This record gives sequence, C-alpha cells and structure tokens, in this order.
Amino acid sequence: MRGALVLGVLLLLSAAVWCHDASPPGKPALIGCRSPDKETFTCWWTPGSPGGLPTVHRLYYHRAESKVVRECPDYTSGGSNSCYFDKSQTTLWVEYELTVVATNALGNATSDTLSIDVMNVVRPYPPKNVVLQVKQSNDNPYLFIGWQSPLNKTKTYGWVTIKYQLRVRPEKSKEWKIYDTDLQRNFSLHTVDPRVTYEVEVRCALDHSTWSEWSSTASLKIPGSSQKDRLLWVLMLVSLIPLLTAVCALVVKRNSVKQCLLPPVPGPKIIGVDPRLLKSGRAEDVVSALFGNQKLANMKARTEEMEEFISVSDSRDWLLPDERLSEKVRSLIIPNGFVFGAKTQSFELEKAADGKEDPVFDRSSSRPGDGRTPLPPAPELQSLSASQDAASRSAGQCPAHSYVDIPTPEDCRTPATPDDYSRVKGVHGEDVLLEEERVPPCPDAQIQLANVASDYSRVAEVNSDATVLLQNLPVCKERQHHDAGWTVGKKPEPPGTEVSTGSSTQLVGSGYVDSVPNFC
Amino acid sequence: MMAKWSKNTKTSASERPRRNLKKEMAQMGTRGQLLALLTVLCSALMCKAVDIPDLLDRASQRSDKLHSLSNMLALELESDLPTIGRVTMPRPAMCHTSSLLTPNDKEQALQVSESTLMSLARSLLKAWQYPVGVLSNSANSLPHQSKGSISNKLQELQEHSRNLEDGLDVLSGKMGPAAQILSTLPYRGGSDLGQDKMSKLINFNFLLSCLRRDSHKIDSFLKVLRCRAANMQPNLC
Repeated sequence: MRGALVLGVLLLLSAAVWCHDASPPGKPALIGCRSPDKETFTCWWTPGSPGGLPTVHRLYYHRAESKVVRECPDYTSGGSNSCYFDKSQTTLWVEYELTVVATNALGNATSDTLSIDVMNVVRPYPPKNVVLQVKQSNDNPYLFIGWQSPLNKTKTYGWVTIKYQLRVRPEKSKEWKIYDTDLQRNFSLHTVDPRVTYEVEVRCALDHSTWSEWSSTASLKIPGSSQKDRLLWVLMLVSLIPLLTAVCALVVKRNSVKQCLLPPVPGPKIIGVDPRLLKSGRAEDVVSALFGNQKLANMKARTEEMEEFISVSDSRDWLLPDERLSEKVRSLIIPNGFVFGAKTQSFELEKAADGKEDPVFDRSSSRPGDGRTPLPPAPELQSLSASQDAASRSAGQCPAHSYVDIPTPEDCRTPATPDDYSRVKGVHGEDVLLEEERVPPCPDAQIQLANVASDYSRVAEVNSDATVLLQNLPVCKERQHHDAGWTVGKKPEPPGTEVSTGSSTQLVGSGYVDSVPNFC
Repeated sequence: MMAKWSKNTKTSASERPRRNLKKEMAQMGTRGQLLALLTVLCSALMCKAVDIPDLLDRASQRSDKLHSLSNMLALELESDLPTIGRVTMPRPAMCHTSSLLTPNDKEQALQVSESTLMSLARSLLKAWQYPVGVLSNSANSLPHQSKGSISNKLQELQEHSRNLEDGLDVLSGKMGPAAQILSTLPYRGGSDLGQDKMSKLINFNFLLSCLRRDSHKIDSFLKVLRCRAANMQPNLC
C-alpha cells in the first residue's frame, strides 16, 4: 500500500516535472480548399501552438442542409494537415461547413468554421511535361511547344472543359507574351529569332475557374544557322575569290595600274611663263618669267561683250622707267586676269629687258565680220601703260566707245551722242551754232584708247582717181594721231598719205551734220 | 454476253448511239427517282443528327458567357460586402431555385438522361427571367461605386439569358417531349430589393450568389449534353 502510494506520488511528480510546459493545444486555422478536377477536393489547415503534448487534429464537416456531422474520410492523401474528399464525398452546389479540432491530453481547440462551395474552389494543377522543339517550315525555324493535361483522366465527358494559356519570352527579356490555345495541347510560335533562347510557361483553367499556377519554365535555343544561312555563306565565299584575285593583281601591278588610272596630270602652266622663275622673287626673273616668250596671243576676251584691244603707238614716250616697272608689274600681275573684264584695259606690257622684238600683238575681237584688218607689225611694241588701276577709272578717264559695246561709266564726261553728232548750241538765222565739241584732254602718258575712232577715218570725199579724202575726226587737243594707215573703203590707200590733218570738213552726203573742225 | 456484244457491234454506227441513249434515259429515270428518295430520307434523318450538336455547341457557348458574367458580378459585390452583411445574408438554401433537384456531381450528371438535363437547364433559366430583370432595374439605385459597370453587365446578362432561352426552346423541340417539361420555380422576392442601403446590398449579393450557382449548373448540364451529342468531335470530351 505504502509502496503504491509512493509510486503514484513519484509518477505525478515526474509528470509534473516533465509536463510543466504542457498546455491545451492552440487553435488551428483552416487555410482553404482546392478542387483540381471538379470531382474531388482537399482542404488544409495550420495547427495552432503545439502545447507540448502530442496533438491530434480532426476535421468535421456537414453539408448545409443536413445536420449530420461527418469526419474527414482521408487525412493522408493530401499531405499533412489536410483532408481529402474523394468523388463520393464531393457534392457540388452545396455548402460545406468545415471545422478542425485539435486535441491533446490537456484539452482541445476548435478552429473557425470555413464554409465553401466546391464550385468556387475549382483550380487545376499546372500542365505537365512542357516540351520545346525547333522545327522548320520553308527554311524558317519555328518553336513547337507541347504539354500534357494535368488531369489524370483525359475523358471528362464535358463535365469540365479545360483551356490553356502559355507565355513566352526571350531569355534576356523581362516581358512575357501571352497566347491562348483553348483546348489544344500544343502551340507553334513562328516569331522566333535564331541564336536566341526562349523560355516558355503554360497554365490552364477549367471553364471559368481560377487559373492554375504557371508550369515550370522550359527553355530552348533556336539554332543559328539554317540552310539559307549556309547558302549565303557559300555564295559569299565564292564571290570573294575573284575579288581577292583582282586585289592581288592590282597589288602586283600597282605601278602600271597607277599609270593607267592616274596619268600624270600636267601642272597648270602659263605658256611662256616659267613658274620657277616666279618663285625666285627677283624682278628680272619675274619679268622674264612672265614675259619671256611673249606669246600673248592666247589672252582672249573673257566675255563676249568685252572686247579688248590695244592701241599701238610708235611713240617712245610710253616707255616707263625701269624703277617703276617692277612695281607696276607686280601690282598688275595679279589683277591682270581680272582686268580683262574691266572696261578699261589697264594692263601693262613691257618690252623685255633684253630688247627682244615683240611679235605681233593680236587680240581677237569678239565682233565677227568687223572687217578690220589686223595691225601691221609695228616696228616695236610700245608699252602702253596705264597708271590707273581698274578702280581709278572712275577718275574721269573715259574709254573709247565708238564701236566697242562696253557700257560707259556714268561719270563719263564724253558726250552721250556719238562722235559724229554735235550738239546744237543755238540758231542764229541761217547759221547753226554748234557746241564746241568737247574733246577729251589728252591724258598724260595714257593709252589713247579713247580715240578708237582714230583707227577709222570717215571718208570725206572721194576724188576722181584713187584718192580718198578722209575726214579728220576730233582728236585730242594736244596730239595728233597718225593713224597707222587704217582706211575704210575699198580703195586701199597708202598709209597716212591722204590723211588730212587740217581742218577739212566737208559735207558728205550721209545726212550727218558735219563735225566741228578739229581744233588740233 | 460477249456474243451479244459482238452482235451489237455489227449494227450500224448511227443506230447504236440512239438505242443506247434511250435505254440510258429509262434507266436514269428510275435511278433518279430512287436517288431523290434516298437523299430526302437521308437528309431527314441526318438533319436531326447534324443540327443538334451544332445547336448545343452554340447554346453551350452562350451559357458559358452567361456564367462568366454572373461569376464576375457576384465576386465584385461580395468583396465589398461588410462582414455583417455576410453573416446576415440568407442561406443559399433560400434561393428560389433550390427546390429543384439536380445532379450534384459528375457521376449523377452522366447518368441522367439527356432530356432530363435539358429540362432542368430550361427550368432554371426560365426561373431567372424575372429576377434578372429586377436586378437590372435595381442596379442604378445600388449603393455601390461601380454601379455603372454592374448595370451594363446585368443588361448583357439579361440579353444572353433571353437568347439562350430561345435557343433551348428550339433544341428541346428537337429532342422530344420529355425535354419540354418545365418545372415552375416562382420567385417571391418582389420587384424591390429593399428599402435601406444595407438590405439592398445584402439582397443584391444574395441574388447574385444564387444566380452564380444556377448559371454554373446550366453551363455544366449543357456542356455534358454537347459532349454526348458530339460524336464527330471526340477531342472535345
């Protein structure tokens, strides 16, 4: 008796010692339920605090209309803390009231009631065995995706209608592209790029249930080369061979090729001007360089309207002293080219220092049919100097304008009327007083271009035999020009013989008012 | 036969075609009549067979759309309902259609006859004709933020429901008299869903949950029917 009592006390004490942490179990909580096929469903719960003692969880349920409470038929098929309802236990369109009770030696705890309708918890599992393949269609690769239904039984007899959805993205991209495939368990993606790895995931739904989770990712790389690519490479290589041979040939024969393609281009060279002499910078060299050969026949008028001509005089007064020469030459070397277009011919020719005779200096006129005979060769080419530049022509020196079409500057003081007209000053009875013809003063050491008319002489009278009286046109006051033998008319006359220097004004039956007798 | 044929060949060329033609014409006459009869019979028989699966397919599509809409609506309103409303909401057994006995799982549904399934679907649909109208009318006065979209969905739902009803009437006519039985499920809710805001919301929610269930039933039944009739499309089932 005493032994039993002591044993009992000892046991109680030990139990008290061991179980000093024990408590009734914590309240479990139902997480939810899921029906993967609309035929069965599983519910899960989480246990509450352990309580230290072995706890047993039990699920009880009853259907909405009936009061009969039943216990979960299967605690294992769904995993731990789960309850699996098979086909015979599953009823649709009926509310299930579920509760979980946790029991241990010290007590029990009941969870909150979860009320579910199986139709609302339908959610299939993801599709299985997602397979990727690269296939060819007209030499274009495409991605073929295949998978299997998550349902064990493929025949559902219309109880559920499964539909699939897949998403694809290139490996490095973050955006998925989603495609619906309805009932089909495969899909062909044609918008794929070679040498790119694609990731694919598939999910499904039963009628209008919640979508399943995405399946595990399947990936595949599209191969880089296709038949087309290979063909391209072959073609490229084949086309490169002749190119390479051509390049080799070129390299080997580069000199001859150079000769052929790039013939030596003659440098710009003014005929008669030796550029080497110009470079030296010395006056004599420059002069000789520029005027060495004196083949100035090539200097032509730049424009048709411009006419250049030279009045040649045999006077020696035109020669400039040597000191001014180089200066002039230098200053005019550059504008020479531009001056041709100018109204005044301001150029300078200088006889070569060595006294070479200049050949005929001919300038072609732009006017065809002029009938003008070229100048006979002068004994020596006189220098015709113009001290003015083109800019200073506005100082009042008027160019000759008799037959030249050069528009005269506005400040030209020569009369607008042609030379053969004279201004009427007044009328006194029968006399007509003509204005004194303004004769341009002779410019000092100027080119007497103004008197182009001096090249021509108006025929005043034709005598019986071969004598032509030429009218003396107003010339400058100081000088007289000896025309170099220009005559107009059919009868050639010896130069200068019949040119009258006096005042022989005779009325020529040409209807012109006679010019005022010259005052020279 | 060969002798006969050889005899025939001795006849003149012009005569032969004429004689053959006459024979052929006579033969053709009887043949033609037979063919005509056959085609009529065949079409009469086949019409029925061909027509129904196609009609069922169309009906299933419409019921699918109907259920989708009711599902969306129910979920939309359920999320906004306060807990109090959820507690005081009438039980689903209180739905006016709950008295109708229907198959509740796959096995039962597959065992029930086609006519019964059709009859059930039609009865359910007919029972909701009036309540859907009530819902649609009350949508604008509903104290809910997105009552505009709710109203639109309800109107669409109403249209689908009417179309489906007409389609099922045609179908049931083809399926026989058993399919034409209709169970009356009167709605006793009245035209007004409630006086105050809360009761309006609760009633709205309740009705929509009932509708969701019944539209799911209709959809399931029609899809089972479709599968049964679709012998030419085994991949559908």
